[in-house]
Amino acid sequence: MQEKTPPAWGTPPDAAPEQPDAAPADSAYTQWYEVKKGDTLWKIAKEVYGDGSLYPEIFKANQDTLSDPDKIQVGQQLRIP
Amino acid sequence: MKSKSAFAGFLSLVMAAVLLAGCANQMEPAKKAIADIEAAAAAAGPDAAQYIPDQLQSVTTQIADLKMKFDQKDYKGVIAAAPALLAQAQGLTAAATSARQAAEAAALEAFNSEWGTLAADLPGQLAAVTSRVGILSKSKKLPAGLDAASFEAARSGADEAKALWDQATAAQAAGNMEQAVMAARQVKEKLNAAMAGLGMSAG
Repeated sequence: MQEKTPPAWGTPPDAAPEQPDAAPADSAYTQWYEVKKGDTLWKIAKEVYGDGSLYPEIFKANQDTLSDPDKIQVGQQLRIP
Repeated sequence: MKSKSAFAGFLSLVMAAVLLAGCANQMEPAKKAIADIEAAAAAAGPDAAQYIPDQLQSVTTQIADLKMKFDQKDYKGVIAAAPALLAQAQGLTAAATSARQAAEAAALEAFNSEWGTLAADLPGQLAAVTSRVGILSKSKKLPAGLDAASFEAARSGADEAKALWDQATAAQAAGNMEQAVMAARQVKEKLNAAMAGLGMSAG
């Protein structure tokens, strides 16, 4: 019996390109955080989640206003999922 | 002379007998009249007591008055009053049904209104709590102010809320508004408790 060749790593050519998850619509229960001087997404994630490495969750939830996770502004309102 | 007084006495006896017979003749109709009225009042069933208690009480009081008349042997009085009271008693059934239907319609309207509010509110709250629980489940360490027991309580509360919300929406789709609203109220309670436990601010 012929052995099957394992597939090459990477996205199969016919697969659709990955789309970033759309942020859910805001509701009265959306949690907001106002950026303070010295804040980073890592620090905010550490404060809210206990774990700074979860900062991508905050970035994902704010892609409508954040294009770069390292560029946040004092006074900016961020959704905290 | 003797014959005149004897005749008068005899006449009195006859008259008394006639009166007695007349009364006895009316006793049974009066008894039946009261029985008919009581049966008509009873036919209105428990709906009358629940939805038109004042009307039922009025008929009940009048039946008691009629029974008193009967006990006082005022059978004529009973027979004279009976038709009007019978009509009232017979009217209790329709009045009770109408009042019950009005109460049910009002209750359904209230449930529909409450459902509208809850259905607009709960999905957002459920999403917020579920999202937070999901992210915290991945955390290497819980944030300050949140211990493992509180987090676990919030997590199971969120799971229960999700299951209850599914039940609520299924009940609403099936037209069972009371069950839908009861379940949705429980969802609200659980989500509020979960949010408080997680330190999330309410909407």
